[in-house]
Amino acid sequence: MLSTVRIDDEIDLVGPLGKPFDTSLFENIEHGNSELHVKQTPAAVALLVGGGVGVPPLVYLGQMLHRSGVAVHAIIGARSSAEVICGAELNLVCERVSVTTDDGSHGHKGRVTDLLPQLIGSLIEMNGSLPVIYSCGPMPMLRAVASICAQMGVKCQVSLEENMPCGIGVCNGCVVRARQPFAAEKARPQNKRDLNEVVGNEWSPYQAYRRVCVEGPACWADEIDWEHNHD
Amino acid sequence: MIDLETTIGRLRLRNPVLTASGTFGYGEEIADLVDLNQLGAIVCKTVTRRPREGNAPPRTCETAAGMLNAIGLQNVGIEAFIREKMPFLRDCGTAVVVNIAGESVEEFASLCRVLSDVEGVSAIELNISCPNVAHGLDFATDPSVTEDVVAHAREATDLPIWVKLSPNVTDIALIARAAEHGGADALCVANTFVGMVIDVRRMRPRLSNGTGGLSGPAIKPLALRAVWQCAGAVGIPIVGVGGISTALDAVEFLLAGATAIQVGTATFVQPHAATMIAEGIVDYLGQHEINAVSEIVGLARNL
Repeated sequence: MLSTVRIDDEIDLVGPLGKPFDTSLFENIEHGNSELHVKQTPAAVALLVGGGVGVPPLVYLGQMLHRSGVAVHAIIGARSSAEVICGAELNLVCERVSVTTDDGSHGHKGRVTDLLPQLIGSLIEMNGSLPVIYSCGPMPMLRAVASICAQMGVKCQVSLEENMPCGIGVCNGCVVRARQPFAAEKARPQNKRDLNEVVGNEWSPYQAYRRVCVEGPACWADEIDWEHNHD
Repeated sequence: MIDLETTIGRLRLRNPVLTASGTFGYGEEIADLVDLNQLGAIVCKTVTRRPREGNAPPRTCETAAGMLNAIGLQNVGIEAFIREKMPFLRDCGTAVVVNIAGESVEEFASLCRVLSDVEGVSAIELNISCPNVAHGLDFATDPSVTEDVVAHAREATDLPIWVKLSPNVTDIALIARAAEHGGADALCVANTFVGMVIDVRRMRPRLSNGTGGLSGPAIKPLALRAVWQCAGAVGIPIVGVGGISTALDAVEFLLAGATAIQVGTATFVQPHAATMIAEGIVDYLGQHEINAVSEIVGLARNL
């Protein structure tokens, strides 16, 4: 439909929908009750990791973070140099943009995850603090990025993709499998704020699958059961 | 003043436009977008005895003029439904029809018994026709099983019982009559049609479940035909559903013999579809100088 509209045509829009990237780790926030105040040390470095058409959403994020004084780095990947997008926009707000192409026609030959571990390592060393990773792109890429971040102990936000019939949380069509609490413990939901369907205070099978359109599309990578999600 | 009041058996609704089960969540999710006071009723997502995970994704895909879904009845379960969802629903400003599914005749009856004691339930819709769960269609494809499940539900509650039929049968009128014999107050015609899509890139079915239920404009002529056939076979009211996107679509179903209609997939394209359809029916009646929507029910049948 969007390919056929012309200037001055009217279209219907519903939005904004869903959860945007969580940037709260960069904020100065006090946690806790009146007895115990824990001041969160704001993070200072963000690493944007994008693949293919997953890169554009990271541009606005990069611009916002840059404006708030965060040091932004990026790794972007595409199949070939012709498909590398938003390099120029990212260069304006990033300290460094690394590019990878599957065919080697531009930048590093290979995938974004080839460069990721080393870049995370050097950012930790350079800054003495943990960067926050933001990733958007095909599911196999997100899975690999999430795995590396988990291994290296850095927090990672991913923007998920799934066919969304309604986009407003009423059909349960766009779900992803969420990380389950261990069967042995009747655990409380890990992230109560994210689980709209808290059923009493106990985890319910209903919560095994979460809606990308309202409990996402952006969420923490460690909330997803990567092994049991399809590509 | 054009009268949209609609009577389905003992139940009086403000208008004939309802929302279809599975397309409106439990109402609260969409209440800030849609004015529920303009709907005849909401039909909730199917509730089962135990909470259900639902099917693995991919659960949906688009088709020409429609979509396939294989949600798999993901729901919070009857206990959580009553505790967490009914408080909003009983005060939401419109009638509430609770759609239920059981794995056995006894389970259907038991759910009916439980709901009889719940304040705010206007009617129970028996989902004997879900194509996306094991044994889901077993009830609706066999007339004697249909009659049996309805009869047991009938014994278990005084609430109005609507039976949602499956169109994936050779003769839907046969099933309709069986449901009527069992004691149904109304029929909901019809659930989705079983279909599938193959992903040629991955060389396998697009949906994790293999098949799914087809809905949307593509099925409208089929659902309409089912309504026509059922209206000719039973005396109880029919709630027509399947592919209705506009007011004129709804009018077709009313003229065919449906007393009321449900809007489902259209809500995904336009969240206000149901309320817009209600307004459009008023326009149609006005244009034809008809004062009450009840006057056009089955009018196309008077040949």
